[in-house]
Amino acid sequence: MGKYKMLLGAAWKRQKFSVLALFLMIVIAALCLFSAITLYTSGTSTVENKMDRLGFGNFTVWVSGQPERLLAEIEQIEDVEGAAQQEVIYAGYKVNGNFSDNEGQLIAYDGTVPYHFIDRNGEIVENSEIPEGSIYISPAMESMFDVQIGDAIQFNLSRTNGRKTYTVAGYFEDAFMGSSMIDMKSFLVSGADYEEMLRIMADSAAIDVLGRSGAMLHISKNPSSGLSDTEFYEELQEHTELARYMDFTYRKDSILSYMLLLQNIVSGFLMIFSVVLFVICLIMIKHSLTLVIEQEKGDMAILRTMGLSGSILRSIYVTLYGGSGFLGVVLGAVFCGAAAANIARGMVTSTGMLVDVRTPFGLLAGVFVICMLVLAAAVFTQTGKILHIAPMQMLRETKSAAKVQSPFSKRYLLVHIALREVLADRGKYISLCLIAMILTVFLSVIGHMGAWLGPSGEGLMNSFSVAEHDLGVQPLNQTVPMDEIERVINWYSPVVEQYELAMQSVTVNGQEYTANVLDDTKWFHMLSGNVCDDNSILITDTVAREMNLQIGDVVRVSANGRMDEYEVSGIYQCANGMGTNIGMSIGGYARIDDITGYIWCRHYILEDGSVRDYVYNYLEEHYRGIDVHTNSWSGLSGIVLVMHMLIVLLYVVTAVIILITVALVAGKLLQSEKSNMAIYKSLGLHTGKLRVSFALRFFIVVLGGAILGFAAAGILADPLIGTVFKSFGIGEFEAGFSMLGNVVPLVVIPVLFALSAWFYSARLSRVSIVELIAEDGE
Amino acid sequence: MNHEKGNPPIISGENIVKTFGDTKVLNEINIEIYDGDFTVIMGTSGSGKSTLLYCLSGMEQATGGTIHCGDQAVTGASEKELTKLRANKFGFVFQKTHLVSNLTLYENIVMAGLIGSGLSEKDIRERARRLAAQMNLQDAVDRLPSQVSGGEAQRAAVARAVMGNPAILFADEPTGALNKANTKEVLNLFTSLHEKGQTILLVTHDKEAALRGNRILYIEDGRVISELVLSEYGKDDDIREKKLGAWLEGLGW
Repeated sequence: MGKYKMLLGAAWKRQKFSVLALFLMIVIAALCLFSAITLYTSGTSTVENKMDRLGFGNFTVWVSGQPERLLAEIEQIEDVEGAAQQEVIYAGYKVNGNFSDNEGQLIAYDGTVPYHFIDRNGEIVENSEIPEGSIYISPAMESMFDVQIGDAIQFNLSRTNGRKTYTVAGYFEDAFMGSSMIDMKSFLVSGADYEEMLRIMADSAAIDVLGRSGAMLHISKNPSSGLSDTEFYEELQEHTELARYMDFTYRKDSILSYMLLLQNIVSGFLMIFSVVLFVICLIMIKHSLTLVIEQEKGDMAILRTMGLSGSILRSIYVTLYGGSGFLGVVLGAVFCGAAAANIARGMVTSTGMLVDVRTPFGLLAGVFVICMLVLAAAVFTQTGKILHIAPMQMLRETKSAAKVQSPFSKRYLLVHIALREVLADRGKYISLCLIAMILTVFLSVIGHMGAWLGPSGEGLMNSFSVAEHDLGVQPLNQTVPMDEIERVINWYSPVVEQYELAMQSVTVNGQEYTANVLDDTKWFHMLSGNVCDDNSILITDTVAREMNLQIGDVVRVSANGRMDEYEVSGIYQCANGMGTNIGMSIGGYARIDDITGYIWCRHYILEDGSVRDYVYNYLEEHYRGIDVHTNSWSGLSGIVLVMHMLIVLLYVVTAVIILITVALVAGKLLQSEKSNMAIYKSLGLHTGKLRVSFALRFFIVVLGGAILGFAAAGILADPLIGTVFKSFGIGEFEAGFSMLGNVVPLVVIPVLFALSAWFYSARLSRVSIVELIAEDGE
Repeated sequence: MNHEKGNPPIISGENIVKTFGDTKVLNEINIEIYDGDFTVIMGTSGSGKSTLLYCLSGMEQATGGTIHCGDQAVTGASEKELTKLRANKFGFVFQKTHLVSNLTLYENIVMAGLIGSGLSEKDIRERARRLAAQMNLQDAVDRLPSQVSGGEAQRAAVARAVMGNPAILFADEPTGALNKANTKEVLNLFTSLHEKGQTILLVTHDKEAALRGNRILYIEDGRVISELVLSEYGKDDDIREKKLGAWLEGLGW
């Protein structure tokens, strides 16, 4: 035991830097992985629990008016466990100079529904009533409209003195539509204010009323019911007058997907990043142990001659490297709860609620074991070489180098020295090359995402939109002067293209979807198959998956009680409603519904798209009876902000990883090349030049790796992101060539590595020619 | 070709002191190394002879006193100035060959020229080839240091040291790790270089090596206690050997 302790202590003294650097890298990787898992599981359970607590069922149906009979009809169905009605007022609002795209949903707070009042960090605060004139909002309104406590929100209830303004007094937890991913927002007001709003609407002439009263019906399926959600919903429609009052319906899992969109994107990227880090850790374990064994094999051979067994020598390195891995994973697991809580807290203004972080011990224990097995296998395999060190063999062995042909000239001498060092010891640089390749692929993937997203989230918006546009105007009655409105639009910027879109509720084989009806079907983003005609429809990847449909299948589409059969002619891209929509031509839709109503929204593509917000504001201020929107939604800025922050964070962590990797690789290289460095110095090569040459080595190797990574990313990045995005309803992802996705990683990674190596090589100034004398004295 | 002919000193040191902790290794030494001389420093182990060489060449900074190489101060010189001295004026040969392990012998020699000399690349390569031939390395030039004998490697180290036409060649026990045959070969090289005008400062405890010099300094307890000008005794090896032997005997060697 004594000899083991002594040898372990000696090995620690020599290897402590490598072991600590590796430990640090494993801590980061484990922390990312465990935090991501914790955030993912906690997010799902938090939203589900809070929805259950607030009494939301399997379906929530938004209805106009207060159809009291409907609730009774629903409750009578055998498969219904329960149904509750929550009265609301729908009204458009203006906040901080922004008009909402969607109506706000005002709810009178009377304590019946146990809403939690929270502070800006999502922590629950005590509050039993809302004073008159005050309003409580979701914290996500901050990322959507930059709303702060004390700001005013104006609701338009009637054209005649029907504007009511409330002061934001605080926040509440809205598990249902609190996320910035959901455009429609709920607001809590006092009972007295709610009554006053109802009175304003009741006192106004019908033509002047802008707000409307309605309700949310929360319907829970009986747990013993054997019906699927789709069948249950069909039954509801069949046996009640639901379709008559319904505005739209959301299934619980659809709401969950929206509410958890941001958390899932963040935890998904953290998981991918942690896997990348673990792969890098494995490469570094191989690299470090190979070099350590190479450097120490003389000493090991001597110890073998003294009677020490190979397995004891091996156990020293297994203890050091395996121990650092074990402690790193343990530390990552210990702090993952705190890290996940901090991430959750940082996202409250986008997600609208604080995720109740609960560590999933069982799942983490399983992941912990897998991580440990992988790390142990890596350490054990690498240290196996120690067993083959024979006592005398290594003492007799002379250090030999492979002869390499590479040019040498006075010009570019430093480059040539660097190149020779790399080629002569190429085995030592393979790990570096591999890591550079992996990091380039990873940053390319992130860069592709960033480029696709664009500075204002255009990529995401185009994926969610039915078709490209800058501005949409929907006249809601015959008094709207559309010619005049188009003249206004043209004054701001000439209109390049225009088409008409209607978004109507339909059922496809009994399941409810939104039908995107276009007067010109060329605007659909086709993924495969053919554009639809009057006898066919388009479906998204999501619909195809959900309903197990293929191109060529025939489906029954119905709207307002009329039904017809259509063939699926193709797959198109529209992530709206998580991809739960179909595409139809105007002629096709005319077969099942009236197309003469005010259902058409005219979409405009402007020559100068940057003026769209000005046009939007002008039209909102000056025209009534229209619904105006741009190709954006207020939650977009939140998701863009979070994604951009994630990209920056991952770049920063990548830079840290590069620093650690360089420290690990450079430390070992400088140690083994001390003598060569001193010789170069004795020949008159200045430390500064040696440092440049040293950094150039890293640049050359990493550039090689980055070029490989660049090529791999060109093939892999888009399909990889596309696979992840499919789960969000984005059927096709194509970022193409971009500065951020292709050029930046190719340049940034070699430069960062070279700069880190240059900084790290400052210790070369401590290498003295006296090293040579010291060696002579040995 | 020695100081008796009035050549100026290349290196001069006044009151050189070097201490390691409480131990004074060099004790106020005054010394001048003259242009064209083959100066040998001898002394017992621990006498300070190697330390003196390191201080004179700027490898170690003296604790006290001043050292100059011509007009350039060695004591207190910046790293940049010392680098310039090494590249243009100094050549080094060590006990171990200290060749760059992944360069062939030829490339090791060329490298010194590329770093230090003001010659064109073509001239550097020509001179390197000539030096390699002069050192009898023709058959080994394309091999790596690990693939040649100790003698060949040391000859290559000497060739590399003189590649940049240094004003002075510092050699610290250059034959210490060689067998008899290789020692003779290397010493012959030093003699040949000296005959061509190369200034050499050699530290050794080998009488055979010391015989090649024209001026021998004996150092003890950090002080130069005696000097022997061997050139005064002509070129007869026997006479030189006897004189050196007697001198060393007188010093208690």
